[in-house]
Amino acid sequence: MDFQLLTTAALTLAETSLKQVLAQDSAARTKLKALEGFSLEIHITTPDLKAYLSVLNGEIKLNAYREEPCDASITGSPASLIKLLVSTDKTAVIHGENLQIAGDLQQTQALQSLLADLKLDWEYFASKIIGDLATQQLSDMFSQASNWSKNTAENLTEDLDDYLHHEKRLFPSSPELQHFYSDVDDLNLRVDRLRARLDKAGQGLDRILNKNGSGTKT
Amino acid sequence: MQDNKSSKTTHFGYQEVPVEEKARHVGKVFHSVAPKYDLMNDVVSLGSHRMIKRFTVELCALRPGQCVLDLAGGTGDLSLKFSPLVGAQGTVVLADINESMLRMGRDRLLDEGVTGNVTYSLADAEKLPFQDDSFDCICIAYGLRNVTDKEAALRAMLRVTKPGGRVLVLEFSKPQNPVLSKAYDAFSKLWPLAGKVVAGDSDSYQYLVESIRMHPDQESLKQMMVDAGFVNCRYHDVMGGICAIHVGFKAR
Repeated sequence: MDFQLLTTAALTLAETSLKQVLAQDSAARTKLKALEGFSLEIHITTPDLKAYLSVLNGEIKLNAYREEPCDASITGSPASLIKLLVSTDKTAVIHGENLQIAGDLQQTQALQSLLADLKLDWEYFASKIIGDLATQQLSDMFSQASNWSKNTAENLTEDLDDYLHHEKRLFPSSPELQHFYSDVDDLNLRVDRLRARLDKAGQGLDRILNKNGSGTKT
Repeated sequence: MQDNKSSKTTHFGYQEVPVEEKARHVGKVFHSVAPKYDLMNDVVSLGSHRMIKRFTVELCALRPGQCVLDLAGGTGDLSLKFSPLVGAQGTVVLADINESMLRMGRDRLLDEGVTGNVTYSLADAEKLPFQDDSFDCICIAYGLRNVTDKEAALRAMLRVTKPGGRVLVLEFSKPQNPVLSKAYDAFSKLWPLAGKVVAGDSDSYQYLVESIRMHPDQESLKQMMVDAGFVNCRYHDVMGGICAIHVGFKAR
């Protein structure tokens, strides 16, 4: 379903652009009136995608979903379909390329001629649709079984742990911590021993001072 | 003796409130958010709600001459799209229980020049004021989770749908992917703050977050539609299950 949402977004872009261009082309609008009610299924073979074009109230509508059958259908690779819109010899394109057209051929050709004459950057739209659909891998991931997410979450946690400890050295690793604690223990012991020696030295000093004090002759 | 109804409570977000008060609480929320409703939708959905609604409209598969009910239609997003699809021979009814939202919807449609085939109805989804078998299609977008008695609303929708007609429920749902779910949870914690900044109201967006959490998940809502009497029920996950579009039909 996210695949279709992405398609919807791309088709909305194309539809809006077509609307803007048609608003400035009265000749095209007149030709479009003659095609009112016409519907065309556009089947792009790679990636496998269907879009639906219809002429409604003098405007071109592009949908990702449709239930009613269309008046015509056209099937082909993205390159073939683009050529249909940019080539100057359209007849050669229709008959020469790997295109399959079914249904009302006359209206299909009339629409093709109209769209080609608009001089839109069709390659840009195609790249938008196909480029966006390349991200369908994301939606495939989201809809996969939980194994992916579980593994990813675990890997993410491990990677993050490694990153924080070893790459960024923001936190000490466990061995480093253990080594540090060991050093602290060692230092504690040495301090204790030093304290003991100082105490002993102090006691000795006291004895010397006391002895001298008590033995003072007059 | 205590009245049974007044001792019954339901959820308003995470709060428990008496059943008969929920509608009033929800009403206050929507009276407050109405002026900035669409802007906040853009914020919380990162702009995607427009595409999701457009796709929902496509799933309605409307044809010229048909009759469609835009239930809890609020500011008229969907009615704007429905109107040209059903054409001059068709009818769009924009219905909402909240007067502020309905007024905004009507003003917006008038501003857009959409008048000929749209009528307006202040209506409670649980008690629809329409005759049986009236509509080819009913669509309730981001509205069902605010309804107190969802089962009653679904039964009412079935009643007023024509045999063979369909009902679509677009609503927030449960992301299927735990990583996405966590990311979405974290993101939704920002909504009350965004509500404060954009609409000067954080409480309403706190309710929004909580009401999404309390809403049934995909399978539960599908079962509710089956229990209400719909046939051929299915759902389409959108954005990894953050939203879902449920579709059910009235048997011929």
